[in-house]
Amino acid sequence: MRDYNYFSLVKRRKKNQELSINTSGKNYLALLLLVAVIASIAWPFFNQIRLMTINSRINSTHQSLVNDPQYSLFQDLQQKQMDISNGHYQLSSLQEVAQAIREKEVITERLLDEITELLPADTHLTSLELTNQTVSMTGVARSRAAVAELLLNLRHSDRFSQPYIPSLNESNQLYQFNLSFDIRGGGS
Amino acid sequence: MSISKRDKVLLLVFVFILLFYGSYRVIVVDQLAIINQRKAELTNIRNQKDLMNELVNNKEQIDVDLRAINAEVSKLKRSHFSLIQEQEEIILLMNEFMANPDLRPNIAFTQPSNETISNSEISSMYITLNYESTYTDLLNLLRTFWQFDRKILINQLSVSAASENHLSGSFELAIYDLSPITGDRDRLFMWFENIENFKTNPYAFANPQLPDHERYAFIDPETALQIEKPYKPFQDVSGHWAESAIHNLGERRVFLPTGSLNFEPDEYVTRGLFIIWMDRFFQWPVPDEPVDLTGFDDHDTLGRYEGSVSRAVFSGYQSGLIVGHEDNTLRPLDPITYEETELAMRRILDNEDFTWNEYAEIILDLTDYSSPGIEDITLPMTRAEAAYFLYLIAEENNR
Repeated sequence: MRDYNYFSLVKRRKKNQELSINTSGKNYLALLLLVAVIASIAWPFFNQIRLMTINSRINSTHQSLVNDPQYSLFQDLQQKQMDISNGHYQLSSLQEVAQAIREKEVITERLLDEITELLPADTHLTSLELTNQTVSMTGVARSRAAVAELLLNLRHSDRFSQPYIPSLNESNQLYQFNLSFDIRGGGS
Repeated sequence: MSISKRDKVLLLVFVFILLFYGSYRVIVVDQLAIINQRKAELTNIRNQKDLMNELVNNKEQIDVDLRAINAEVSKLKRSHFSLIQEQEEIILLMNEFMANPDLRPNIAFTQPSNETISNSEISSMYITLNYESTYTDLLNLLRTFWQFDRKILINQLSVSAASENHLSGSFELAIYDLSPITGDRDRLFMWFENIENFKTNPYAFANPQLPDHERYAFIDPETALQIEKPYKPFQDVSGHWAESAIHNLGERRVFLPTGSLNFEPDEYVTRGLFIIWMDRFFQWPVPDEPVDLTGFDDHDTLGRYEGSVSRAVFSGYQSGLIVGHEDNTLRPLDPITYEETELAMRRILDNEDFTWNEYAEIILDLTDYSSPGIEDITLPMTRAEAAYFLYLIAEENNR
């Protein structure tokens, strides 16, 4: 009687299973390699087609743009928009500079008038020095009171500040004075 | 060394993966980058189409905005100097300011230098004037600086009184040149050709008997300082059939100073110049506001005539007397034809029956000159014909 090997069936099954696993694994591997090969070739090819399609669209869209009857007008308008943008920038610089120059202007006809209006009738100037910040003057008055009135006028003025008389000299009943004061808001 | 089957398979897999990765890195990545770039390009073109529609729909507004901004810039440019680097301009300006023979101040100039104001670099020049005058004359002189259209600052003023009517002292003017910002330089003066007056002996004193010839003309028509110089006869019209008419109109200041003493009578008259002559001849009213011609596509070609053409166009173009072309251009440098002159004159003279032929026949009778316009009114008109024609209009209307 032949010995029956109960494990042989199991071994055979296991072998068959291994064989089957090996075969399916090889198939998967082959499939994977096939996919890799196809992908390596097809992807660039596909991209090339996409690129050609996009190029074609670019060309057709560009052509339809440049052949549009309003394209030259569009270019002109674009240039005008650029001019507007540059103009705004230039205008802004010009306005700032013009404003700064205006602010530098202190010696005006109005300033001379204001200085003249401060002088009492019984005084007159012999010299006047104006800068953008200060006024220095020498003059002659008929009385000390007239000089004091001039100082009072200056002190009450919104335009001038810091009036100061360092000397007041009498000669032949006339009073010579030196006077200096600041111009409010005077520039540099 | 023997390689097992499994190793061979793994090696093969590795080679394929390497191939795949290599193809991805070398080909596909570049392709994707190009595709993305092209997609952006396509989107940009499509956006351009949308932008085109938007801009075309807003054309009127863009034109209005551009005109407004140009007018603002132009106004600021005209209120400041733009050419102090050329000192002769400033000397001529001082010469014009000191028209009062009682005032002969000595003038000292600083070199033009760069100065930064409000973060912008501009040029500046300081001028010191030493004077002796009365208070009234001094004040009048200072007023001319204060009231001049282009900004002149008085930085420092010094006055000493020797007597009530005898003042002496100095003052310093500051002028600022904004051309470094604007990039534009417009002249205040133009020079006349003066080829006859040259010296042969550099040490010979100037002959006091020599007439004081015209050297220059003020060319800023918008300014308060505009000066009408006496007419100096053109030198190239002697014996010309239109000579008397040209001199007649010259006396009437119809011709804009050109810096040349040649009238070039047989050259064609341009559309721009014809508008200016019409304006000066008919003395159309001065516009209250500067006229902006930037709406015309070819306004750049107006050049230094812009102020004069603006003035002329105020009453000419705006009221329909002078017409622009259908393509939104003025074409100021194109010659004007007899036909265009007819159209303009019908509007200006309010005479629908006006024809060039009528005046051409009169010119023929008076001067024996036969105008080509009799045969073909599409031909351009010469400067002499335009001058003689205006002369006839003046005679007709006893102007």
